[in-house]
Order: sequence, then C-alpha cells, then structure tokens
Amino acid sequence: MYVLPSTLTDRSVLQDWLGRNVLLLLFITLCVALGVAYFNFFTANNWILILQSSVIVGVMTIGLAFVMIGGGFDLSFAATMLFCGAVAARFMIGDEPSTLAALIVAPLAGAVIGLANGAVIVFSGISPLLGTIANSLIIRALGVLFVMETWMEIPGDASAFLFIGQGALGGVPFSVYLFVAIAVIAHIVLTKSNYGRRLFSCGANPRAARVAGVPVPATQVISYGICGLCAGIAGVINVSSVGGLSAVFNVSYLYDVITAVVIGGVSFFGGIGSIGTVVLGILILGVLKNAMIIMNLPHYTQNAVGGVFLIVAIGIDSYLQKLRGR
Amino acid sequence: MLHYLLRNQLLLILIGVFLYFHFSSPYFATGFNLITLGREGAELGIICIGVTLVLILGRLDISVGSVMAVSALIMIIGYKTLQIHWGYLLPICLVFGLLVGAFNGVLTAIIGVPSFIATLGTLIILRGLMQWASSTEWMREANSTFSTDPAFQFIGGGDVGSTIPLSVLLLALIFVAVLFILKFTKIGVSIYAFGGNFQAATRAGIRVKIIEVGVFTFSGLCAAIAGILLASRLDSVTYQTGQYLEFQVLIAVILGGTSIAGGVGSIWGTILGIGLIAILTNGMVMTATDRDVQDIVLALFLLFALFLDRIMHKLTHRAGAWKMADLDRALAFARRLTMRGGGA
Amino acid sequence: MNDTPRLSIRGLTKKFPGILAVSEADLILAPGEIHALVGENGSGKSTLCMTLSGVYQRDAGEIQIDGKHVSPTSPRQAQLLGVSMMYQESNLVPELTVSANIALGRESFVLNRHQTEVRVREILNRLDFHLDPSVKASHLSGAQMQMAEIAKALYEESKIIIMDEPTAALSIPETRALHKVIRDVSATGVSVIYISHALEEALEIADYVTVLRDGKVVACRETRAFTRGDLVALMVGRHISIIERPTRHAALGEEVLRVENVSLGNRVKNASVSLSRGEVVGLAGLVGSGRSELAMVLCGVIRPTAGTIYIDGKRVTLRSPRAAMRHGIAYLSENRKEDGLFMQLTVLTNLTISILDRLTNWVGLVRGRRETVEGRSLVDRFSIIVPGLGAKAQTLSGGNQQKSLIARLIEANLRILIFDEPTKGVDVGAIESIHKTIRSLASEGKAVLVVSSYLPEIMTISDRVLVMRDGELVANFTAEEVAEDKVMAAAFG
Repeated sequence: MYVLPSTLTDRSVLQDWLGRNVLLLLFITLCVALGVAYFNFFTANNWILILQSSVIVGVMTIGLAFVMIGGGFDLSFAATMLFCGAVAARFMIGDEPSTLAALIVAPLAGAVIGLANGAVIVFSGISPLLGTIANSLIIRALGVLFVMETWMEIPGDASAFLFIGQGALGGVPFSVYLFVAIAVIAHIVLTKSNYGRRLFSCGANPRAARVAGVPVPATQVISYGICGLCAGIAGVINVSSVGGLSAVFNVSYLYDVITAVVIGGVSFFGGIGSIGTVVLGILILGVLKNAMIIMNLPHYTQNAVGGVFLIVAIGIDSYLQKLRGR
Repeated sequence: MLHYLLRNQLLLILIGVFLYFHFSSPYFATGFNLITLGREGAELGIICIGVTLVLILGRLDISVGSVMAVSALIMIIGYKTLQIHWGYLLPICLVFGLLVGAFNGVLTAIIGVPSFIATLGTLIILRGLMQWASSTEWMREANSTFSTDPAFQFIGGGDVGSTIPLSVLLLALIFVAVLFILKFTKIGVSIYAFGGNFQAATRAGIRVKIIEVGVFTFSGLCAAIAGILLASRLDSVTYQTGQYLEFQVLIAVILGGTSIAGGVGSIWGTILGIGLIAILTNGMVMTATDRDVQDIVLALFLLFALFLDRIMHKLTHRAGAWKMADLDRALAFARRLTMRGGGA
Repeated sequence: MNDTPRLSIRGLTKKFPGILAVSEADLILAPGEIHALVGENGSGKSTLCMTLSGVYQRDAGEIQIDGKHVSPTSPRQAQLLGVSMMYQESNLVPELTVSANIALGRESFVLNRHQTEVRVREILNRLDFHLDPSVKASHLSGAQMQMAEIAKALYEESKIIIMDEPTAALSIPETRALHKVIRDVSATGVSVIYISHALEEALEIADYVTVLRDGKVVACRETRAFTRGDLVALMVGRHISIIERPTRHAALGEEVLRVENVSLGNRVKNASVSLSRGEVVGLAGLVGSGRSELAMVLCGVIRPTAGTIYIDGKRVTLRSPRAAMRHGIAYLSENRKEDGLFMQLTVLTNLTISILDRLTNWVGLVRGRRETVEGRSLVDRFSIIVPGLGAKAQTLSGGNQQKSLIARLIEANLRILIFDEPTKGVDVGAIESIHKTIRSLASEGKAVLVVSSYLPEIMTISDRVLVMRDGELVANFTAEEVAEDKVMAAAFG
C-alpha cells in the first residue's frame, strides 16, 4: 500500500526505501515522540497494557485481512465475537463447566458463522458491505435471544479458562503469546500455502483466477470462515480477560479493526496485504489509543480521535492510489 | 417494466405489513398513532430523499443518522439550555448539515476515499460528539425541562390546517423539488449518468466532482432538517438518537428500487420504501416487539432488499447475456493489451 | 474549397513515465476526409487521438483546427472545439434513453425533451438509422450502440470525429452499413479519423492511411498507394514471408474434443468443431465473428446456450475453467490483463498459479524451493525477461507478460490447448519462437486451437484452418488447400 513503485517516479534509492517502510517509520516516530512527551510511556507496565489491549482487536484484524485480501469485506466480526464469547461463557457457567468445551466450541462456532456469512455474501453476489452488516444484526440478535444474558460471569475458580485472558508467562500476558502464534500461522498460510496463493489471486483478479482454475467462490467463503474463526478466538480472549461477558455491543471494536486494517496496508480492492504490516498497523493503533489514555482523554474523545485517524489514514492511502492512477 | 412490478410488490408488502400490525395491536391504527407515524415517516423520508440521490451516484452515505442526531442536539441544547432563540438555531443546524455533507463530498470526490469509509469516519466523529454531549451538564439540564414555545413545538409537532403535519408537508415540498430536479433538469440527467457510466459522464463534459460534492452536501442538509424536526417533536435527544437509522434509510431506498450499483433509482419508489419502514418500525414498537427481534426483522428486510436488487441488476443486463456485456467490453479491450501508459 | 486543412498536427509528442508513446507525429486532415490510422498495439494510435480529444495533454508539438492553434485540456474543451471521439468501450449510460445519451452534456439547464428529441430524430433520419430515441440504451445491440455514438458526435456538431475500433463488435453487414454512414457524414464536410486493426476495412473506407510504429509516423499516403502487405510491413518493420507449410511430425491422433451445434446467444450459432491429437487448428475470421466466444465455450469460461461438448467421445458439461482443466483443457485468453495475469502479484505466482497442486506438500504448504526452480526453468525456457521472479507482473513488458501466460499454460501439462491471439503484443523475434512451441506441442500429441486475427500466422502454424463469420463456421480448409484469398473470401462473405 505504501509502496510507490519506483518505475513510475524518478526517485532516489533512499526515497524508495522510505516509501516501502513508511509504516515502520511512523511507528518508531510515534513511539519516540510519545516517549519524550510522557515519561511513563516506555515502562514495561505501559507496554504490557498496550499489547494486551491490542490483542483482541489484533486477532480480528488478522481475520478481516484474510477476507479483504480475497477481495471481500466483512463487518460482522464484532457480532460474531460477542456471540462466540457468549457461547464460551455458557460452557463455563452452570453446573458442569467445561473449559475444554468452551475453548473448542466457541472458536468453532465462529468459524461456522463465518462460513455461513461468507456463503450468503459470495453466492448471492450482494454487496459485502451491506450484506455483512445485515448478517451482523442477525448474529447479534440471535446471540442475545438464545445465548446471552445481560451479564454472564465466569466463576473465579475456572483458572484454566481465565488464564487465557488474564494469565501471564514470564511477565508477558498469555494472550499476547496467543496473538503472536496466530499472527505467525496467518503469515505462513498467506505467504507459503496453496490456499494463500489462491486467496491473493482471487483478490488481485477474480476473473483471471477463475480462468486459471482457482475455485474462487470456495476460496472466498473459506476466508470468511477464517475471519469468523478469528472473531471467535477474540471473543474467548475477551470473555476470559474481562472475567465475564456483557451483552452490550461495543461498536468501537468495529471501528478499531477497520482502522487497524487500513493503516496496516490491506487494500480494499483485494490482492494486497501482509501480516507484517497488519501487525504494525495494530501496534500503531494500540500506541495511539494508549497515548490518548495517557493524555487522559475521555472516552468519547478517544472515539472521535479514532474517527479522525481513520479518515486521515485512508485519506492518505486513497490519495496515493489516485496518484498512482488506480 | 420490472421496476413497476417491483413497486407493486412493495405496495402489497406494505399493505400486508400494515394489516398485520393492525390486527396485532389495538393502538396501531388509531388516528393519533397514524399521525405520529406520519411524522416519523416524514423525518425518515427527508433523509431518504437525500440518500436516494447518493445511491443513484453509486455511493453510500452512512453518516446521516449521526448528522441528524447532532442537528437535533444543537436545537435541544441551544434552545433549552442556552436559551438561544430557536430562530437562530435553525440556520446553524442547516449550515452544520451542509458542512458535514460537503466534507463527506470532498473526501469522496476529491481525495478519493471510498464513500463508505469517509462517511464511516464522519459517523464515528459525530457519535463521539454525541457521547460527550450526553454526559455534560447541559444535556441533563435540557432533558429535565420542557420547552414552552408553541412555535418551537410546531415545527415538528404541528399540523397545518389541523390535519396534515407540517413535517409531512415539508417532505412533500422537498420531494417535489427533488423530483423536478431529477426529471427536468440537466443536473438530474447528470446524476443518473454519473451513476450509470461514470466514464461516459466525464467524457460528455459533466462536472462530476461538483455533482458528487453537491449530492453529499444535500444529503447532509436533509439529515439536518430531519434533526430539527425530531428535536421539535420529541423535545429531547439522547446519545442513541439516530443509531441504526442508516439501515432503515438504506432498506427504504433500496427496496424502493434504487440500486446499490448506481444509475438507477426513483424517489417515487423511495416514498413507498419509507412508508414500509415507517410502518414496520412503528408497528414493532406498538406490538412491544423485543429489541433484538426488531433487529432481526430489519436485517432480514435489508438482506431481502439486497437480494432483490441483485436479481434485478442481473436481469436488466439481459438474460444470460449479462456475460455478453462483459464480452463486449472484453472484445473492445482486446486491442488494449499493452498497459504502457494508456493503450495504443 | 479553401486550402486550410481541417486538422493539422505537427510534431506531436506525448510521454508517460518511462514510455515515449507518441513521438513527433504529423497528421493532416482535409475537411470531409476519411483518414485511417493503423499500427500494432503500442504504436500510439489511441494515445495520439486521445491527446487530440483532450483526454491527455501533449508534451510537445502543435495542433491546429481550421487554421487556429488549439490546446484542449479536457474532453469538454475538445468537444467545444469540434472534436469528438468514439471510444472502444461503450460510452453510453445504460439506463438513459438513446435521446438522453445523445444529448448528454449538451442539455440546457431545464431539459427540453421535446426539442431534443426532434433534433435527435432529425439526425437519425439524416443518417438513415433506424433507432428509436426513446428506447433505453441498455436495450441496444452493439451496432445500434455504435450508431448512437455516431449520432452523438453529430449532435455535438463536431467537425472531426475520431473512431477507435468502431467495428470491433459489429458483424459484416453492420460494418458495411457503418461505412456507408461514414461516407455520408464525410460528404457533409466532417473529417473522420478511423483507427482500426482490420486493415482490409481501413483500406476500403479511407482516403488516406497513416501507419504508426513505436509512436512514430512511418508512412502517410493515399489509400490506393498501399497494399495490405505494404501496411503490414510498415507496421511491423519487415516483410513477413509465408513460411513453408508445416509438416506433420506425428500421426494425427484420435479425436479429443468435439462440440456439436453449439450456440452462445447470437454470438455463436450452431458451430461444430472437432480437435484431434497432434494437430494445430487455426480459427480465423474478422473481429466480432465469434471466435473468442467459441473458444470461451470450449474452455468452460462460458456455458453455451445450446449444443453439446464431447471429450474423448464422452459428453461433458464444462461448468467452470477449473472443470475444463480437470478434463485437460487449457485456455489462454486474448485479454491478458483481464483474464490472464495478476498484475499486483509476483511473476513467480503468475507462473505457478495453475500448477500449485503439483507443488504442494501434504500440509498444504507450497514447496518454496521447488516452486522457485520451476519458475526459473520456465523463465529460461521461454526467454522471459524479468527483473526477478519476485517482481510484480505489471513491471513486465507486454511481450514478456504474454510469454509468462503461455508458459503458465504449457506448464500445466494439459492435453488440449486453446490459444486466443497468443502473439498479441509480442516482439517479432519471440513470435517465431512461440510458433515453434505451438508446433512442438502438436508433435507431442496435444491438440491445439489457435484463434488469431493475423492471417499469415494462422497459415504458418495450422494444419487446418477454420473460418468464422457472424457466429457461424463457414469454412474448413486443410493446410494444402488454404490460401489467403480463400480465407478472406470466407471471412468477409
């Protein structure tokens, strides 16, 4: 996304390298600026906070990246996250809590929901934007009706389950390890697997992909399934870290993930994206939010700033695309 | 021809839904409720007209609900807390709507941001504003008093000649004006051309950037007007005002025959769509339907609208030959294989 | 008649980053003259005209219309100057009526539909077009759309009309009608620039012909001073001589692919084709005759509206290109940008996308090293010039892109290959090597079908030549009996 092809402009090697690594530079600049301004920015505590708060958004961002690389779009992941979190909570509450069931069924439910969602969108051909919004309403409503209660509390003795969101290994929260693992797996799948190649081809040029023998609809539906799976995992982590589930739909997740995926360089048109830059995007977003907390900005201002940031990020991206003549 | 069929179906659905609610709730078909329904419908309708134009262009505007909310906010807090006469507040709200619309338009037309994201960003910012405002002392004060000026209440709550709500008349006025523009002016043709074949429109010399900015600006204006009416009618505003309004609007417009793909649409159909949504939402409230069931119903209607739209889109590209349209283009592009700066 | 030319272009130069598209071009047009512009892809024909029509801005040179210097900076300005361009892609808004389309951009603020329709009808009558102005543009046939575009140019009272491949989607009778219209229009003093790949058409309709090659004007003479061979030679830069007839290296094998009475709407009518192992079949015909559509049906890209397909004698339904590949059919589309390459992806990915399964291990991961080895060998074998396997496909030249596509196809090791314009945009030296490759495929026992608009190419490599006209297969020549004039006669009818 931030690569300005040097064949199109007469640029020096330095400028070319700069163009390719804008994200990294942005990240470093941000950190330095904040570190200078706020002395407690570079403390271990603060960074644990940053990482921990980025995990849930981060996992879903990776999921959304898959869908977008394949040429689609998905807005239902926040609802799926809520739903699967509730499913996990269900297994933990009651007479026979089962951590194993919770950890297996919840993400699985997410995958199934994702596949169904994807099937509806891909096979009907309707706009993914609006279609997934509609699906998200349905998912959330079904969740509230059948699975959720206003507040579901995980019993305090479910230590295995709670460890996921609240535990730490060597000072680093366990959820961060989980995120890293997911990121690594995602990277391998995208860059080195058969499926990953196909996915990129579907996003880059669906017609050519079809002609080349790639099963385009199936590939795309699977990407939605992956997104749902990630949302399910995020839901489990969320419930585990909070210690329970509140049925209030936190719409800020939607905005955050979209912002992260845009900053992370995944193109809306498909065919472009990499886990490396996505992770950077997630971290940048995390740092920004952290900055707002440090600056003691109230909640709603954070949202507003998030919106501004989204506009700026995609404004720059769109403008660059225009310059490149897309 | 197909549009005509569709509209008939819509009418039937509308009647069906109306009858359903009539039999489900004794309060539904009362004169009082119907008038309220008319007012709610008018507010929704004014926004829908603006969004219809956006959709004909082939773009999306999902910020309308939040623009309406902030506009209502300005009215309520300005009038009830700050004791500014509402006469001064009206133009402020309208200008606000125009500015937000223009902002969206510039983002989309000149910077090239996809309209969904641009209006999403606006939505986030304005919602943040609403959240902040709801937590202030001003808001508490505003919501604990009642407005006393009957003229203020008349805007959104009054009837002309004791029968027709002012807001409905306003809707009719805007409807007629937009209808005229769409059908009888160059601007109207240009809007359809923009959505139907952007390249052809550009090549024909149409000032596409101005049209795009203009349409978004108008959409913002409509949302602001609706906000004024809402503020007057309900005499209060919360941070939830206007949430999910975007979906209602989209359902109404798409079911009314305006396609997401652009280039097609008529505000006559939108009116029917508005009627349906207004009846639907009002009826669901009247029958004390669960909030979440309401969501499902709305979502299903949206999906239904999208499916229908898609089917219509495929059909109008001539049965089986929608691939032919691709072929035509493919053939024509056959000579443009070298992408070295623009073809031979 | 005064001596001021209608149009005078001198020294026109247009650059794009890294490419000199048009260089020092001269063009003079008299009022009422029909002037053909011919050249290969990339020769600058369209760019030159788009500079004239205001889409691009020239970097150097001057343009004079009726003696006055002009500098159109937008299509609108060019229109006001009297230049209008008919593009290859449809420039009509589907949901608007013909009348609204014709008047698009020229309306008064408050529409006066009646007046507009009167004017439109008058123009349509003048042109003897049988078009109903109140019909929606989406209901028009390809020829009718073309007519509407011409009417639009006249409505704008243009002095110069540029037509870019106007007959690409037209049948023979429609082309003839169009030519008549062009002559009528030019008789009223309107000058016409006619860009076309169909050299025969250009020679038939034009008063003058300009040949472009690599952005430069290489010749401009009266039409009767040219033969088709001259044109080709000028376009290409050397004479292509007919190479000796191919000798069959392997015995003709059994039939692998047969279609019977296949139809695709009105693009392909009742075609029956048979392909056998070891032979190269050429499919000739004018543009728009349905060859590409037939090819797409054979490869599963499009389902036919009628007819049956048999592979190895068994009836099959080809639901998708993937299904066709499973039956052993490979397809090279003529639009390498739309249906072939993934521009943003690497050359390596482009090369191996169809053979991924072969390179994948049991976990689902692609064997990176094997893939790279495959890629390198393909690049070597087909002499594809790349900055590196990791370069994006869009950085390759047209010819190398085409070679990559061919390489991808051949590597998939399928037994029935269908090429649509395989040497489009390929440099002349590589064309011969591609021809050799195609012949060797046949001698390996594969069945090959080649669609091409370039007759010498077809005659060089084919064992049999099929000719299509207007969607129908009208001729089937063996290598011994085929001759250029026979094919032309069949193609034109």
